[in-house]
Amino acid sequence: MNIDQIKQKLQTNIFGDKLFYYEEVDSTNARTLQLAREGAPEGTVVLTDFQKKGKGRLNRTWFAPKGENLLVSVLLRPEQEITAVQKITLAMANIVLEVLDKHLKSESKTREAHTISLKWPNDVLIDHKKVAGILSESILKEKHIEALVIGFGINLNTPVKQMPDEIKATTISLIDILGKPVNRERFLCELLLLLEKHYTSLERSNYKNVVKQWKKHCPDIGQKIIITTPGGQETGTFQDINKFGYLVYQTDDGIRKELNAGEIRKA
Amino acid sequence: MDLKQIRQLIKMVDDSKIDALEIEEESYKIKITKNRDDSKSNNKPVVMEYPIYSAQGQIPQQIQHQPPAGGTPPAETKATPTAKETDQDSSENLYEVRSPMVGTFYRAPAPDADPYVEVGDSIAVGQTLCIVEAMKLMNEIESEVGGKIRKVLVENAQPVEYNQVLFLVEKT
Repeated sequence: MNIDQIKQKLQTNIFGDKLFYYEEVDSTNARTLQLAREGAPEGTVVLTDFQKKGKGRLNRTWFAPKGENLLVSVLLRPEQEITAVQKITLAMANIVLEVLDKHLKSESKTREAHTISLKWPNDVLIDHKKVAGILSESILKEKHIEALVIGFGINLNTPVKQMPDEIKATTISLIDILGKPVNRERFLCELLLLLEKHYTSLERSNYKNVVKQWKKHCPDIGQKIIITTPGGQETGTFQDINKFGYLVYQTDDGIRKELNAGEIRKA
Repeated sequence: MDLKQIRQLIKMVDDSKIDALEIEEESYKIKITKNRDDSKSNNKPVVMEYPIYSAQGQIPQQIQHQPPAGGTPPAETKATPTAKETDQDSSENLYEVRSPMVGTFYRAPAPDADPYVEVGDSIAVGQTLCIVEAMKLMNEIESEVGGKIRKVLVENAQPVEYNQVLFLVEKT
């Protein structure tokens, strides 16, 4: 990563004002949480070229070869209540989708040939394959948010053919679409700029329009899905996202349920 | 809740021997307490109402009864404490750590990791006790108090409700 180039291009007011770059780090989220505990301000950004323990949900690993993709975490300190703020995970997916869309529009003549969509709660897909993962972690004291860290892993320059076999069928990278490398510094600056703009309005509007916006890009509503939680697995029909951001589905037995934490995939 | 209902509640508390009433519903939380400083002349209730953002449809109504601070105490409290009262005394020292949201409760940072805390562990203010996950947001819950873990009330990877008690901590 060329940090000088980032500092030159960055048009934000506070996001990235404090920017920490590590050639290697255990995980950008873990490092950002540590900085948060040491009193780092909102908008602190942690960037790396390689994560030694890049993580996904429930300690899954995040694959990213050195120096090819975007691995970045941002520290937020929201003022609103956690039950409203938790929808931020959906909002972040909306933002990544917007950045990808802008990038494809400016860099590809075939933008219309590709679909960018969302999978609950916050995977971003191009042509139904995962291009970005977002893992958010917070520190709560009672109901007060001390810190909220959003970690983004975005596949930019690692072509699918170089990905591990087990994820090849379900993963995609921007380079596969564009046929040329993505300028990571520019992509990051676009992401941070949109993040700052939207986060300010999210906090002001108490996360009001997040669900409505998110639903516009989810093709799974109305579809059969398989739901996996620590309690087991079941199939049902994806019906809606409720105002809290939960996935509403109807089981094959006709029971209406709300999913707050878990995984879904197409049946 | 409208003003008329609040007035009725105030009167109810005023006329009763309880000195605090707390009700929590989806869209509001109300707390009425009697003034304890001057129990003889100015024992009027104080009302506080503030909105809460609940993450679920139904929240059980909570009414807390506390022993009256002023006026004539019930006769038996003058006598030697009974076993029941001793329990009450120790429970006053117990702090309830509650879930700030609907979600899934995890006792450890990862499926193969050791739990953050076990029963009997001494904990400090700010120490992480557990994770509650909601919508791929992993929330580390820190302790507000220092003390000793007396009970862990939820099994690992179980769903939890808003305000559900997760731990009992004996305060030091």
